[in-house]
Amino acid sequence: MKMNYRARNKRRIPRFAAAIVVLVGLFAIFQIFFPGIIGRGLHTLFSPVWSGGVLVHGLVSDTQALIQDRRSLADENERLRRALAEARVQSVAVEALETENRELKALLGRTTATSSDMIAAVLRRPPSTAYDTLIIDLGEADGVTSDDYVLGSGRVALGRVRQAHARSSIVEVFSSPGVETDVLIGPARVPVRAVGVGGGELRAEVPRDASVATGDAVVVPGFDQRVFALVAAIEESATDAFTTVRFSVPLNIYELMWVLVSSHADSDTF
Amino acid sequence: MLTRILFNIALVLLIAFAPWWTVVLGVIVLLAYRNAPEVVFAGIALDVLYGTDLPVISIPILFTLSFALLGIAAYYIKHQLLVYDSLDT
Repeated sequence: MKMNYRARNKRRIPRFAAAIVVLVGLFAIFQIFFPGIIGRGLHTLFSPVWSGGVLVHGLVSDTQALIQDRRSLADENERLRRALAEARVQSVAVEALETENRELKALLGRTTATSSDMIAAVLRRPPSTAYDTLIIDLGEADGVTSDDYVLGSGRVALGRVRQAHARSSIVEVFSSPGVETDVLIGPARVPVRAVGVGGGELRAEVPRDASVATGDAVVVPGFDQRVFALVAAIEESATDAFTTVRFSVPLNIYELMWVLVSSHADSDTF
Repeated sequence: MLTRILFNIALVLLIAFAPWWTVVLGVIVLLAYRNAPEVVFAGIALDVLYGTDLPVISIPILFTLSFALLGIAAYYIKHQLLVYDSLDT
């Protein structure tokens, strides 16, 4: 038979609880008065470990593909499916660019911005990163600065650099929960504010009479309009003046291996 | 002592390579057996390695606070409740 008893505790503030409170307090003070110091140190420590992990993962995957025929076929199938998805994204991007090109032809004296994109390996991605962030292997030493844009394959706009450390950076994906981004939806370019809900999904409220259809491209406003997401679903109610539109990032953020970092100098033309 | 060191090494590896929820599970398991204030360091590591500013607080402190509260809660629960297995049934 099990019996439960309440034990007496004479000490008012136990040492254990006090230690925890002190540690949290010190961390908060450090983060407020010396922001980035702990992060910089830990990133310097972990970057080589992550790079080694990526290397080992690649080697193991390659070895498995050589040994297992069925596995290699499955991998090829997966690669082809990804290529098809990228081609779909690129076709949408081309469509957006054609529209933009037509509009720009009406303007005189405008030139296309030069690009200084850098390719970066993704060291950590969701679900490893709790905040729906990516860790990339480029940092301040490589010319990455906070607020640089990050693009995926097909030049899909993925997110922005939030913290650039010496040899690595934290990228906040646009679909991170609570992140708000101004975007244009569909051929009519309806301006809305998209809110990230996590896991590569976003939502926005659009006027009921706006012409938005499933599969429409969502682009980031700017001179060089980038594809941001595709309309995945439209939820409307008969009594509501607004329609909820759900978008999904056309790339799988859980499988990202490489991204492009678009220099901050070009962000005005993003 | 050795078990605790090994467990902490495992926790560091989980922080570096495994999904975030495995770290939470690891912390819960550790706190179930020991009063380990080092769980706060695990929270700090998750926050500064992967975190971005929160909408309400301008510093990433979500996991640090959560693990600190978990640690204190586990301590009080374990010290308030003693479970005896009596031989007479």
